[in-house]
This record gives sequence, C-alpha cells and structure tokens, in this order.
Amino acid sequence: MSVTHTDVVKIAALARLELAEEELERLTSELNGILGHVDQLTSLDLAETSDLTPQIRSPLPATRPASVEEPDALTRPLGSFAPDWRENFFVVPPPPGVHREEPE
Amino acid sequence: MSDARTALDRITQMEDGPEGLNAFLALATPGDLDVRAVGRLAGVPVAVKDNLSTAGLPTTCGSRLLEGYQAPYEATVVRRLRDAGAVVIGKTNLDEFGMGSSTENSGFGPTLNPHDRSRVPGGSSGGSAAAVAAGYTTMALGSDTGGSVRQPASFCGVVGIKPTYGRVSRYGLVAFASSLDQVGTLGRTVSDAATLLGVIAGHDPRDATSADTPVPDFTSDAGRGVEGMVVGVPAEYFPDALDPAIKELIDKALARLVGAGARLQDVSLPSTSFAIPSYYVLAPAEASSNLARFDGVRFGVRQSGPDIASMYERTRAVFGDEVKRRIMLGTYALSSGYYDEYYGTAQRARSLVAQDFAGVFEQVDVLFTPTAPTPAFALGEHTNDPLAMYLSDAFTVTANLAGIPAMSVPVGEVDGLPVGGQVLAPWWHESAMLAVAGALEASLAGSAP
Amino acid sequence: MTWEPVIGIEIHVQLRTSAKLFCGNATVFGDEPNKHVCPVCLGLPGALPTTNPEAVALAVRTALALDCTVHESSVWSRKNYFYPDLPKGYQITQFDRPLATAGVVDFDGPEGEGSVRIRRIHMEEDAGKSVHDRVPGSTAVDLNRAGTPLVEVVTEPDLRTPADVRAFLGTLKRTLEYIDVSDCNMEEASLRADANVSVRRRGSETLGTKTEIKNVNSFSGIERALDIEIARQIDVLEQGGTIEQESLLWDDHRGEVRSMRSKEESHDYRYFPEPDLPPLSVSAAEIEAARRALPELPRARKARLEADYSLPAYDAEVLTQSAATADYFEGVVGAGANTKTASNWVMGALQALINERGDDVHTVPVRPESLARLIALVQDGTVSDSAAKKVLGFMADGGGEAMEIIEAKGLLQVRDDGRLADWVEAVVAESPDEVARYRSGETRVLGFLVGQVMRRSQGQADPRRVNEFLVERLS
Repeated sequence: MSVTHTDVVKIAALARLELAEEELERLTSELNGILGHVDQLTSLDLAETSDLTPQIRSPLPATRPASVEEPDALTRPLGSFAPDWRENFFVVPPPPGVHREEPE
Repeated sequence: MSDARTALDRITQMEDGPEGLNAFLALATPGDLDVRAVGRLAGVPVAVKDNLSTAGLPTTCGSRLLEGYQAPYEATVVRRLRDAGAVVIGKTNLDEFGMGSSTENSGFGPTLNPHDRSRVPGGSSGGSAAAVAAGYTTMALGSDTGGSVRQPASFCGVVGIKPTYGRVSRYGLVAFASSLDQVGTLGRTVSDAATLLGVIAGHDPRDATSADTPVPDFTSDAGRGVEGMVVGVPAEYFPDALDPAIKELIDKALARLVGAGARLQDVSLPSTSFAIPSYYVLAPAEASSNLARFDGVRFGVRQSGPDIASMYERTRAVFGDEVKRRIMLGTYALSSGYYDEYYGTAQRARSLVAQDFAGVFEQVDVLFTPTAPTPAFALGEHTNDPLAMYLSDAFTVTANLAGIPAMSVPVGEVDGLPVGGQVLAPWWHESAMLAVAGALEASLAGSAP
Repeated sequence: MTWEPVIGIEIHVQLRTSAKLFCGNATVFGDEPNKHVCPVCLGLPGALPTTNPEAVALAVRTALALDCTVHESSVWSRKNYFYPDLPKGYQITQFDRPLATAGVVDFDGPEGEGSVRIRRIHMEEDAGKSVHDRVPGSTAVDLNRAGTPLVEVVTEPDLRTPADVRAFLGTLKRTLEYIDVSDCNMEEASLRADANVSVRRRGSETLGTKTEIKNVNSFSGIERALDIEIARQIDVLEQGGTIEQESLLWDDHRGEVRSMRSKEESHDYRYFPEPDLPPLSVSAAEIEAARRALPELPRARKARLEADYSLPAYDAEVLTQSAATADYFEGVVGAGANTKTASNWVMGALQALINERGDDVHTVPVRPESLARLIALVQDGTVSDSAAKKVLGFMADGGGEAMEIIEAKGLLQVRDDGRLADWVEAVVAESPDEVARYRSGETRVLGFLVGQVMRRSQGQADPRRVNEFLVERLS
C-alpha cells in the first residue's frame, strides 16, 4: 500500500495540520516506510475476532454509579484559561468566507 | 527541614547549575510544601510526569501548545498521592504528549541521562526516570503506553512499573492512546515503586475502564520471594541480533532467580512479531482522535487567524514533528477505505498477542525478558530514523497491547550504562511480578530475599 | 404523475434526563452560557466519559415504544470531525452496533393508514451551540448543551408524500410524549428532524440520488420544504439533468431550500470504537421490565377510546393528542358524564379555557369530576349550555364547584313558563315584521326571535323551551 503526496495532503487537511511542502514530502516517505512495515500484518490471514478489547479483563459496569453524579468542579474559572473569553462565551474566528468585520 | 524542602532545594540547586538534567518543567515553591504530613507517604516528595493534571502547577505534556496551561482540575492519581500525605515536588519532562522513546521530542528540550549526560534517559517518562536516578526523589509517576515507564527505567537504572490495564485510574492523565495508556510508577527500589503503586491503584468511578478489583499489598509482595515460581523465557525476545552483553546480563539474572528457588521454562510467543505493526497502527489511530481537542478553542496556546479553519491549522502547527507524524499515521489508518485493512487488522493482531500470553501463562507464572534491545543511546542518534526508534519498542509494546502488568528492574550495566530486565505477569498478578523483581534486586545487592 | 418521492427521516430527540450523557452536569435550556460544564463536557485534556444510566433507560423505553429490537450489547463509537462547539473534536455516538434496530411506527396519514419501518435507534451526545451574531465578526461558543443525551431515530425510506411525513412525525412526537422521554419541543431543538428525499419513476425498484434537508424546526416546515425539493428534483430530472447528493438548508423566512454547497468538503468521520467506554450492556431482564412498564401508546389508546366509549374516530384522535387529555376525558366519563358530551366539552370548552389561560391540561384548575358535575347540570336543564361555559370560567378562576357558582351568580336557567311567556310576548310585540315573515313561511326567522328572547332574558332562558313557546304562540 503506497501513500502518495495527494493522500498526505488530504490527511493533513482532515487532521487540520498545516504542513510545509518539505514536511509533506518528508512525511510521505516516512509514512511509506512505517506502513511498509505494517503491511506485513495486512498480508496475514488473521482470524476474525469479536473481542475488540482484549486488554479489558474484568467485568466493567456499562453505566456510572451515583457517586459520580456530582460533576468534577472546576478549580479555576473558565476565563482563566480560555484563549478568548467574552460575555461568558468561548470566542473563535468566524467560519471561512465570513468577512471579519461584518456582523452576521 | 522537611524531606520535601531538602529535595526541592537540592533539585533547584542542581538543575540550575552545569550538571542540570532538564528533568523538571515546573517545580513547587517552598510555600507549596506546607502539607499535612499524614498518610502512607507522609511528607514524601514525588515527581509527577507533566501529562498528569495537577492543581497549582502547569500541565504542558511537553508541548508548546500547552505552555503555561494550568488545569482546572486534578488527576485522580495525584489526589490520591496528596491524600496519602505526599508532596508533588514538580512536573517532569517527557516526549511531547508521551510520543517518543527518548524525551528528545519534548517542546522544552531533552532531559539528560544522569549516568551519561550525552545520552538520552529514554522516554517518554524520561524526566521522571532521570529524577529518580539522580536522587532528586525516591519516587515518581510516569505513564506507559508502549514502554514509556519501563524503557526509561531501564536506561536510567531505576525500577519502573506498568500495572495491569484498568488497575490505575486514567482520569486526569492526558490521553495518548486510551486503550494502551496506564499511569505507572518509578522508584529507586522495587519497594518504592510498589508502594507508590499501592497508593494510586484502585477503582475510580470517573474512569469507566478502571476495574473494581481489590488492591493487594504491593509493598509486601516485593519481599515475597520466588520459591517454586516458574519463570518463562520467551524465545522471541532473544533474537539473534540481541546485543550479547545484554543477553549475558539477562542470563545471569535468570540464574540468580534459579538460585532463589525459581524454575525456568522456555516458551514461545509467536505473535510477538505482530506487536510493533499492530501497536503502530492502534496507538497513533487513538492518538489522532485524542489530540483533536487541541484546537485552540477552549484552552492552550491559540495561534489565531482570519477564520476558524486557519486558526485550527496555525494552532496545531505548533505540534512537534513526532506528534504530527503519529497524527498523520493514525488519521490515515482510520480513514475511509483503509480502516479495515489497517485498524481492523491491527485489532485482530492485538487479540492474538493477548491470546498468546493467556496460553503461556497457563504454563508459567511470569515471563522474563530484556526491557530494551540496547542501553541508553546518544542524544540525536535516532532522531532521523523514526522507524528504528519504533522498532526499539519491540519488547515493551506487547504488555500494553495485551493489558498485562510489566516492570523493569536493573540487572547490571553495559559499558557503565544501566540495563533493565523486564518481568511480565498475567492480568492482575502484579504480586508475582513484584516478587520476581524484588528477588532480583535483593540478589544483585548480594543479600538473599 | 410518473414520479414517486421516496423519503426517509432522521430524528434527534433530546432525552429529558437530569444529567448529561457522559458527565453529571445538569441539562438545562436557556441558562447563562457555559455555566453547566465540567472537565468532561469541556473536553479538557485528561477528562473521561462515564455513562448516565437514566439516559440508557429512556433510550431503551423509546426503542421499545417504537417496536424495535433492543440489543443487549451495543458499542460506543467516536465520530471524528472539527467544529468549535464539538469540544473533544469527536462526538461519542454509536456507529456499527447501535442500541436498537428493526422497529415500526404506524400512523394515520391523510390518505389512510401508513407504516414506517425504523432502521435503527442509537444514543449519542449533543454538541454545544455556536452563536454567530453575539460577537460581531466572530463565533461565540456555549457548551451548556454539549453532552446532552440524544437518541437518533433513523427510518427506512418508506414515506411517499410530505403530508405522510407530517402525519408520521406527529405520531412519533405524540408517542415520545406519552412515554415521557423528552420535551419534544422543535423550537427549543429538543426534537430535530432531517429529511432524506429522492424521486424515481413510479414502479421502479431502484432509488434515485437523495438530498438531505436540514435546519427545519417545525413539522409544517418539513412538509413545505419537501414539497419544494421534490418539485425541484422532478424538474431537474425531467429536463434531463442529474441530482447531486448534497445537504440543503431550509430557510423558513424565505420559504426556500438553499444549497449548503460552499467550501464544505465531504466528511470522513473515521469512526472507530470508543476506547474509554466498555460496551453498553442492557440485560434481557431490564429490557423486559421496561417493556412491561410502557404506558398505553397513542394509537392503542385511540382505538380503545373508540371501542370502549363508542367515540367517533375524530374525537378519539383529538382526545389522544396527549395522554393527559385522554386521562382527563376518561376521568370525566368515569365521574358519570355521557361519553359524547364529555368528549365535546373536553375538546371544546375545556380546550378553549386552557388556551385562553395559557394553561395546559395538567395544570388547569378544574378537576375532571367537577367538569362532570357541570355537564350533568346542563343535561338536566339547570343551566343553559352557554351559561355553563361562563360557569366553567368561574370555576377555573375561583375554584368553586358548579352549583355554588350558578346560584351565586344567578345563572339558573329559566324554565318558568310565566316568565318565558312574558318575554315571548314582549318580543312578538316589538318584532311585527319578523313575525309576519315567519307566518308567511320563512321558518328561519324563528332563530332571530329566539335570539331576541334570549337577549331579553340575559341568556338565562332555556332556548329549547323558548323555541317551543314561540312556535306554539305563532302558529
């Protein structure tokens, strides 16, 4: 399975990573190297398994007990760590295509 | 003056000077040390890896994206530390978000190995391992996703434990790969690491993957002895290419175990060769999703832009190369058209790894292997070859894939550099693992268990 | 018409739990922004989800009410995409192993009974809210809603007309209200529906390309939007064009369907099983208990009212609009009132009173037994029908019983022949033209004369007796 430059551009967009051209090239070859190693897996005929979580080895309750109904209280106000906090909102730039100065 | 104050002063003095290791990203202030000294770890200074949320000290995960971020809540394991009277002396350096095997991927510079400052301390819990090895603290918390506690323990000549998956709460541990991560402990001695584990272990209803299994007395397990135990030696962990000096140390350790009353048995774990490919699909896949929350919207360092799309990209451009690489790898493995081939296959391989262990543990009580194929390598030696770095995790990723407990205990030195031996035990059987490690430690020290 | 629309609906229902799906914060609507948040629903590093049992119970109840098979084991999945009101950068939902499958909803459409198969029902968490007009040139994000439990109901494309869609949604909403799992308020977005629509030549087995209509917040809106989109698709196809698979937004103000086609790239959600949560397991015993605890559902209740009370279908339909209304009606009949009369009163005067007062049937301060007594007093002639409506109003205001109010307000119906005769005489005397017209054959004029007598008596005369009197007097 070969990863192409186009693939890498698409993946970077999906992951919201802005990559310079030389980064894209380097990543293309690195991913191919790593996935080439991983390919030995894909060529094996591995049995289907319904055990999606082999690392879970004891019965885990599906729902939470009453003891965690109380939310974990924040020890600091939101405004103390939010990058842009105004009127009790998290503020972010608008969607692409909306002019910055125009109110909606 | 309290132990904690002494430690803080020593750390500050050493780290500020030419012998500094860059082990800490943040240190407590003398004022922080006024704690009630009551509990199992009353007054004991403990170093905490910087991917565990703490109140009062920043939590950067070794990333510029979280520079200065003060978490508004605390990890369960840190709360338990404090409840036991321990003092959080500082936050230790790590590979960014836990991704790496050398601590060179930290956004704040690498940590140096106290045994040889031209070499790495291992990773990703390099800062914690170095802190313990340098004698700054006797105990530290780390995290282990593919060997990140055990390998640095091996490189730094200290003890490092990864518990059974679900033994310790992950609430407050910044997730790298959720189905593989566990908080682990490092200590100067097996007893230290075991005691710390005993303090933090146990069910946490805030972590739905934490098990409600009783916590044994890990400290006393370390002194149990190994009379009558069967120690498996899996062939796949002793490839022909293994450094003969390391093999010799492992063989000597095995001999000492026999001398202490254990019996050896050769075993085979054929799925071992699937482990690295499986791990390097599953871990980055989960990581690519876990790291999506780092978007500059609610916390962290935002790099703004004219619109939200550019804000996301500029903010996330601050991730280091290794993090970006793994996000790319993981996103690809999950993407439409590739999911079955990569993620699906990796899950099946993982299940086989676990099955192999289950089968072998019907014949033996524990397994013993090298922790890492080499001692600590030089700074910069592997940074251009990510694949080589990944392959060096071969001995440790299996325990994370299966969820079994594993630990590293010093077994000697090669050219003056520490080497660790790895003990693996069945799920929930840390006791057996600690008994073996304790016996090895005692035998190295020259006294019988 | 040679074209046949094929429509499937996706409905999102907000469950009315006390707490969010994966953390203990309260689920509230309209409070100060970002007040009901915690590390989990904020998506802070290191936070972990834990599943709310109340949400699971309500979701199971919903699935059973829609006749689905509830699976004892289902799996949580992550749906990965970036949006400012999606704090973790993924939504925890259920992808390939949902909570329930294979249900059916029967409804009464304008052209008769219809049936829609339910493909699947799954649980997922809601996102927060992005507000675009609060801070000029920016988006303001409120995460109070983030993490609210939702149930998503996906139908098979079994619907064929927009009117049927509306009828189906009405039945679905009523069912959800009956089982008390949600406020079902489209304006508050506790109930949201998206429609997938395509057209094909009548008789064809294959499906055409579908479009998705989003952003509708009323059932009438969905009907209108579908009418418009179906017409558009037919137009395109008849001109030899092709339909592009796309998402369309309904603009309620302008009454038009707009393409969302901007820089939206198609999403690759990269679903995978949620590693932070064990599978969602519900025991067979729990499912059985939930099934037994289901209340009587709307259609069954309607059928029973028709049968047991000999009510016309129309009445039964109106009375079962809500379980509370049906309960009220049955309470009135249970206290002795005639069924059809009770029905008329509950559908008519009581509903008018409720609307006027801004109450609802749960809170109106007239008990069914009290209304039954008022009805009895009308039946036996103690009070006229129109006076009784006033009495009802007084009962709601003061809370007294009917008889007390009638006596206190002097609303007893007059049947005393002497007084009636006096009024009749007076009216006959003052309306000679009308009397003449009546006698010349215009029998309709009688109504006018009756009305005049009623006016003279200030509504207190018994109109039937007045009628009889006049007829006798003028013959």
